[in-house]
Amino acid sequence: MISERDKARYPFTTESADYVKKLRIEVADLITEPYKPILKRAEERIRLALLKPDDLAPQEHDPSIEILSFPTSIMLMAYIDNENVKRRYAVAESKGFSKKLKTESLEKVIEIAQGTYYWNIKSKGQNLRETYEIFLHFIDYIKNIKNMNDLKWKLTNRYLKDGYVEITKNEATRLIEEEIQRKILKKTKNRKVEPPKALKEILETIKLITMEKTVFETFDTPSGIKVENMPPCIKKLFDSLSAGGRLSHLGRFTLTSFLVNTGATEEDVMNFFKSASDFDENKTKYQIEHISGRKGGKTKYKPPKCDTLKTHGLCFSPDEICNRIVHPLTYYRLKMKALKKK
Amino acid sequence: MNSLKDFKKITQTFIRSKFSEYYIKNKNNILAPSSIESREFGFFLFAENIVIRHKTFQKTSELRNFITNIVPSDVYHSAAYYNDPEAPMDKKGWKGSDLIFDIDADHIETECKKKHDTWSCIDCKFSGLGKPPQSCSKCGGFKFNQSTWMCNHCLEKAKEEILKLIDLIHLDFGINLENIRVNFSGHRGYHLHVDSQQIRNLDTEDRKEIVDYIVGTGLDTNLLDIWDTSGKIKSIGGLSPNDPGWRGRLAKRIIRIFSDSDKETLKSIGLKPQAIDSILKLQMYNSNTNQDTSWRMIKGTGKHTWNILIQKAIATESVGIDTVVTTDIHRLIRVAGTLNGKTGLKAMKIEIEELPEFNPFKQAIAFDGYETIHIEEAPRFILGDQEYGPYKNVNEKLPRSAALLLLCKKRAYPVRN
Ligand code: SF4
Ligand SMILES: [Zn+2]
Ligand SMILES: [Zn+2]
Repeated sequence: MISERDKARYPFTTESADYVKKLRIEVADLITEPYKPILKRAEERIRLALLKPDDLAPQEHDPSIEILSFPTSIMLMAYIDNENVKRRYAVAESKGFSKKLKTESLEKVIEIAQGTYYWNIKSKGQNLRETYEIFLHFIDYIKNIKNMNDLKWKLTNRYLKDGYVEITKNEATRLIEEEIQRKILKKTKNRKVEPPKALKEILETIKLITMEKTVFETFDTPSGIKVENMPPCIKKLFDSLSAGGRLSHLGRFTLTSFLVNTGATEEDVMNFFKSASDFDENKTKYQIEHISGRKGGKTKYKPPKCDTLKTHGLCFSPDEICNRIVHPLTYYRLKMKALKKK
Repeated sequence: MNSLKDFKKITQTFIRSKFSEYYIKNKNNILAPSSIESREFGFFLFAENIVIRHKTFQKTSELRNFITNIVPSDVYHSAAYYNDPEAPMDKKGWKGSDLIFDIDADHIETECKKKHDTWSCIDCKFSGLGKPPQSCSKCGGFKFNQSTWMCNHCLEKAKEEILKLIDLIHLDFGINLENIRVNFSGHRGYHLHVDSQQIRNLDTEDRKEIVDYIVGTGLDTNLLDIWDTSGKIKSIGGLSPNDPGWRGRLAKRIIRIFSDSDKETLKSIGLKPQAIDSILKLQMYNSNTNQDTSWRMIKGTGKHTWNILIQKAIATESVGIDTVVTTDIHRLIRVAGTLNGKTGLKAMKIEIEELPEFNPFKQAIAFDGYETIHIEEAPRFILGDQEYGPYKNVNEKLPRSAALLLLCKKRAYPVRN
């Protein structure tokens, strides 16, 4: 059973959301006297999440404030126009919840996973291993390991049978954390409308908080192509193309998007591809424009992650630096930085 | 005199007329995919470089009539389901996709490729057998023409892979056999479709994770809890064929290595004489007592040897799928019951129970009757119950299926008789 106290501790659950829905509170109500504490707690949540995530513990004394403050902060965050800040908020909240969840009983963890995220969990008992407490269907499992870099999460290294993966309770809470994070990110997607007047003031405050901590992730956009800074996989593609070799579709995409993302102009890339054995001017032009975001989707494509390149056999003799990264672009940036320091 | 272009044209027209006759007679064998109205269809025509894409059909009969009228060389459907399959790619509205696996002899290493596949350097015409090298050993060029052949051994290998794959999909991923469909591609491989509500919404990244499991990518034996803290393999309690996942697979494979290998093979794996002796003794013992415990009690094997064994087991258990096909959620895949334009053989559905006995060189034959053709060059090959070739610059009257294979493979042209 999800108790009143649980609803306050875990306001992301279906039960809490239902409770909030029944109250039918309007945004305008929030600035009226009886609701002020909720708005205040919401602001505090955001402040702690962004500045002191470790202190983001639930307040135990007034469950109703606690429950309502969560959807209120999410609603506020939706007006903040900064993806990094939103991500940091989502990570902090979800980490806070999963820390709490770890202290709960197995039954409670399962109840929340099933009730809120509809996990397909096989009843325990059947050939249960001592250390593994939950059998989770592989579809729910792989949906939640996308951000995990540790090899222990890879399906390949798990016990998989009849469609179910064996996991421990702690692992389950870690996966629930991913669910929470995704949901928060989804709900805080930009609404792109003017915030209601009533919220103007508090939103100003939040913007100030975010500015305190915003890291400006600026990377140099180097001009020209610095071959010596390329990771081994890209270098390999580069070399074989320079020598007139043929690349697979994915190889071509990887190389093009890498070059485009490291500051090569469309013309540079075009000229470079002219040496390829199966060069087709129109096709190549279309691809380059597409990848650089001029045509089609308008988004600039990034090269695939190392993990993906590994799957398709394109990761080629990784070196020392490769051990520290998960994306070939990071390799390039690290090397560029190292060069600058010299 | 006919020019080369004319020969090409004549051959195309000829093949097309035979395909047409086939479809008139056999159009009811064309199998439409589920939810046909949500699928995109694509067609290659005989006229070179003509592709029809973004076609849709509401009913199987429409698809069958279209194929019979147009007579394409190859027919494909999308693995995906779309809101509007006729729209351009970015406006189709992706609703989900079957999980598709492609196993093709092109991706499997076989010894016989050195006998029947050839390459030649475009620059200096230097040529060789098997797969083309990284660069031409004569002029250093990178561009090659390749010519491949379908052979019994290569296809048997592909079949072994598909059987391993079915095992994994069914036992590990728990997919019901009713939701698994296997097709012969009509050329050098097999396709496996998982058509089930459960997996439709998996995105590319999800599918990548499945691919990695099937290939064994990222497998870390330290995480499989095989070694004890002193670095020795855990004895009896360690690895059991009943364990789920890769652990169990490795255990089963190692047991098979032990129970099926002779002295030479064990030596070639890198085992020490003492270990080999003890394995051979246990093989005897096991065959007498009908037990399978040998691998647990082998003396003279250290971590090094176990590592070799495990690596060998991983390589054998890994399934040779084309990783790009499975992770592509917009992929087009050949329609069962149509002809493959590269061979004139049928792409066809195979019941899983019948797969072990399936012989593509007999069961995928689409034509009867005879044709006279001029064969420029072809290796020895088997089709139906007959053996053919090798041929070089001869006119031959052959069973129509064999003649079409050579025509489709561009090794021959038709002769008027
Ligand atoms: S680890 Fe990543 S960057 Fe390094 S070679 Fe492999 S794919 Fe490239
Ligand atoms: Zn050459
Ligand atoms: Zn072969």
